[in-house]
Amino acid sequence: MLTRRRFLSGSAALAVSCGSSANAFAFEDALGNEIVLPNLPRRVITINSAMIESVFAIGAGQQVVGVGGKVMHPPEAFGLPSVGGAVGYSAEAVLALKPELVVMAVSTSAAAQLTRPMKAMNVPVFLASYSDFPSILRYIGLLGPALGRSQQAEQLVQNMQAQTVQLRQRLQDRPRLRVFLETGAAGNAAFQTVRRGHYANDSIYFAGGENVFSDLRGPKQVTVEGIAAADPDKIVVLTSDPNWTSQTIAQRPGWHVLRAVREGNVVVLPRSFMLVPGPRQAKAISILAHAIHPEAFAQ
Amino acid sequence: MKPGVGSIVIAVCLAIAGVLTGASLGVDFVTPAQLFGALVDSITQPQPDIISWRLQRVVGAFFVGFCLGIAGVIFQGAFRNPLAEPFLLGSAAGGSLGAALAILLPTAAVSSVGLPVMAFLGAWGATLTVLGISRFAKIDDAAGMLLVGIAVAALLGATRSMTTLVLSDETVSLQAMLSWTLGSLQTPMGATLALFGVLSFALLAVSMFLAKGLDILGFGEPTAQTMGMDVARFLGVALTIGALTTGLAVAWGGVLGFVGLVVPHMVRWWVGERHGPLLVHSALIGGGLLAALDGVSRALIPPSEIPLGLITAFMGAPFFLLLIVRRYR
Repeated sequence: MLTRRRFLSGSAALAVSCGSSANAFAFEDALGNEIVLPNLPRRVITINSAMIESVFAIGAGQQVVGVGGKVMHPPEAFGLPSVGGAVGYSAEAVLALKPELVVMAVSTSAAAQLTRPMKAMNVPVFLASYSDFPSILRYIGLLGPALGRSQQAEQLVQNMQAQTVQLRQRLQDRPRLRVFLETGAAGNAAFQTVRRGHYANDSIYFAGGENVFSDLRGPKQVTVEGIAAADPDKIVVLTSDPNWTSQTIAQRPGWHVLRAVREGNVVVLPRSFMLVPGPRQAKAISILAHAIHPEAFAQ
Repeated sequence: MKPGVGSIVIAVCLAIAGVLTGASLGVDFVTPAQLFGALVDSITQPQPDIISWRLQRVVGAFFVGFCLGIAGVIFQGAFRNPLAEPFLLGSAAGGSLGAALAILLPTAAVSSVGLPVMAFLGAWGATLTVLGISRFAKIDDAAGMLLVGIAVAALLGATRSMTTLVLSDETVSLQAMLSWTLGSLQTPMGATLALFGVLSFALLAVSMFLAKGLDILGFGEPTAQTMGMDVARFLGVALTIGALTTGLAVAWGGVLGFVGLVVPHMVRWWVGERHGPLLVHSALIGGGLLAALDGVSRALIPPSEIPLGLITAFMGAPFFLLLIVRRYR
């Protein structure tokens, strides 16, 4: 589970100092790279939905002159010039927008394609990194100083932490239910899930549950047999398929052997909302809590 | 060993042993006695039971291997190349494109068709395209069809890659797509499993009519023609049936490499070159092998499932290398 030290690391990151010299604007990215700019970046390109949401959520949307990848939220980001998407990213399109800073996540194809060309062209890059929930708070906290929005970023991080604390208090008298979270399905063969170290694993914990596969050692996929052996109290299925309901899930071949299915404890939630590692994760955790403990929110 | 009743009895015993091994292995080990007890219970007092689920899954795996064994014999016979495999004429690339659309494009139309049907249509459609182009170009030899197959597979592979890139974002699971391409037993159950079984045996029966032609083709295309065989027509029929069998295996098992290549080989060493016995024995041994390997995939790192295609590749690739070394040394 999360330690207090790790959970607070997001706040601790806010202590990164601004301005290593008298006129320079200095900050650190999530990989520990120190970046020094002549002044506050006013032309920012931000790539992938989590980064876009985070930059807008800390109030730096006005500085964004271009985006990349799928724009899902907020509406203000729709229609901004694009530098590429899933098929590929264009270094030329980035440079044409004359950015003073490019914000992207280290594990994305955008970072793989653009980091080296940006370095060659002396365009500063802020690389975010995320895995578990504290790491999301940490990169959001680091974005604040990078974009001159330290206070807003700190406030956002505190709000996200506060929402999880409120949920914990609200659910403290409830039993911690064992949850199977399905993040993908290859037909009816194998079902993908998450384990310790993924933010969705933490989300289940904050939402009053316990991931039955948090200690999974092999590939992050299980069969009905594996789910039956884990015997979850609740099954949460994340999908973008509008045709999937708890009834259609229950009718999957062989799923009648699962106790949670027989007891009607299957919930379907939108994958596109639940699996974006950005500021809306706090809301995602709340939605998950409502799904796992609906009785706690009934009144 | 000379093929006959004795060898078929041995093959049936090996197939049953494979199914029992697959059914015994899993998250928990189940003894054959417990399996039998669960089977009796499920008949006398039907209730939700994971052993019943496991049995049906393993029988599904058996039929996937059964079809791959048949298809392997047909393709190796038709191409007169013991290193040929069932996915040569684009069925893997076509099946993967169908599966990619089913997983990455969650629309009502695609959902209503379902992943196995989409994969089957892709696999079957790809091979029909290859055969259609071959007929249009008046290609009447196996080598020419093989080249068309390579080109169509490359085109479909690129289309799948493009589709995956365009449709991938936070809303879909690329891991699910990867999982399917690494082998993905869809676990048909009840009536669907029975239908799969009937179709598998029907395809074995139909392919037996090809056995004599494949034997004649083994002497070489010119010799076969002098013996009165319409080689181009026979190849078209044989590859159509082979592709149908492969498509059925792809629909319910994803892309499982090396089974259709290795099994006919092993069986050829055992029962000889004649395609009649080769088809029957390869089907049974292919089925038994895949059923046992499915158990291994569920039992190695429980409760994780190792994609079955990885296991067949880890076992089949060294065997394939051995064949190549033996062939060229």
